[in-house]
Amino acid sequence: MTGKTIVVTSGKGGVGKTTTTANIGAGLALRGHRVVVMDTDIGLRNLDVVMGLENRIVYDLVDAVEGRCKVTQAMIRDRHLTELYLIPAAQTRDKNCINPDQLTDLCHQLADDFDYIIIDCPAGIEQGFRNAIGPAHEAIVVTTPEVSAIRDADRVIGLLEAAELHHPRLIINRIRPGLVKRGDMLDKDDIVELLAVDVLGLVPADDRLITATNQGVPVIHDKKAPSGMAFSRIAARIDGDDVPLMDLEPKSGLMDRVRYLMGINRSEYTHA
Amino acid sequence: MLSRLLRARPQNDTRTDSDSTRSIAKNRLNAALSRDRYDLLSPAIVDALERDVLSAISRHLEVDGNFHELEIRRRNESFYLVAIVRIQAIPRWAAAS
Repeated sequence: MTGKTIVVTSGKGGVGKTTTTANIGAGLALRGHRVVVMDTDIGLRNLDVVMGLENRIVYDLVDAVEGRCKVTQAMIRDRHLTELYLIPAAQTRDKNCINPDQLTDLCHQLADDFDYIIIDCPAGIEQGFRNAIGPAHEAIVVTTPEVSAIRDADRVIGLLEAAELHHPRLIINRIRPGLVKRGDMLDKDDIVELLAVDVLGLVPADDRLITATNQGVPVIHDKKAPSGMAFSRIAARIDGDDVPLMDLEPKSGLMDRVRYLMGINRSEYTHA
Repeated sequence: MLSRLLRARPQNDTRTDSDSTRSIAKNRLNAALSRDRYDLLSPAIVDALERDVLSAISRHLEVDGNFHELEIRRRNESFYLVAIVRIQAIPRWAAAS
């Protein structure tokens, strides 16, 4: 088995890298692959809580890199999917305690056993970013339709290309179709024009994602969640399926119109 | 009074595309990204450009192999390539026949 290593990055913090990593990992495992997701945000780990595995950590990434444990001992099996594993970041160290070569060696070892290694990159463009992109064969850039996130995405895409990670693919997260429709949010075409990259997926803003994350369950397991459906489609595209991008449309039923006018956007979309 | 209040409400439906906050965002980003890319322009790219421009010019004119000046400059919202090269000689074959 020779697994593929994919880094999930963004530049800006808080745009949904960790949530995206958890859901892509779960999505690929649901498709029958052996997957490991790796948190490289040393000092600020979060992928464990997003996946609901925070109470099971014994060893972490730095322990594995520094040889205090075997790689397999640092892997935590997911609660829902038997073929999905997490390697958590260390919480008590910092980004400078590992280097890209060490992480690349680790990923080479893992590639013998896994189909996909998904790396959750820390925010920023410093050492943590350099570590995370080191082992990657492919890069996914997450952004939201906001000026700050898009500007940082442009910077990160430039750095990825300079590091020979060509053709990174973009996920646009937290799209609010109602705002797009009335001309108050950048849409997919605007963002593609600005960044000149291929789009891997469009994820609507979704309250169900928040409630799922509260419970430590990736939203992809919630069959009614529009964001979960979007992540399923993204996982399929990563896996090589030709799934067309679907435009996110605001719902237009009477009650939705009433909610919209009242400023309640509980269910703003119909498709993922 | 009431009519003033009504008039003061934002007229979303009659707003043209160029007034939308979306197009404001897009225009601002366009300028910011260009400026960022300009500020971060790699010296290696400028060097490669210098080599290629010189070799293109020397196919038509005799030049001394050095730029008096080659720069990418920003002026207002636009970017310009400025190149000043000393011509050593205008070759005979360059004359109109």
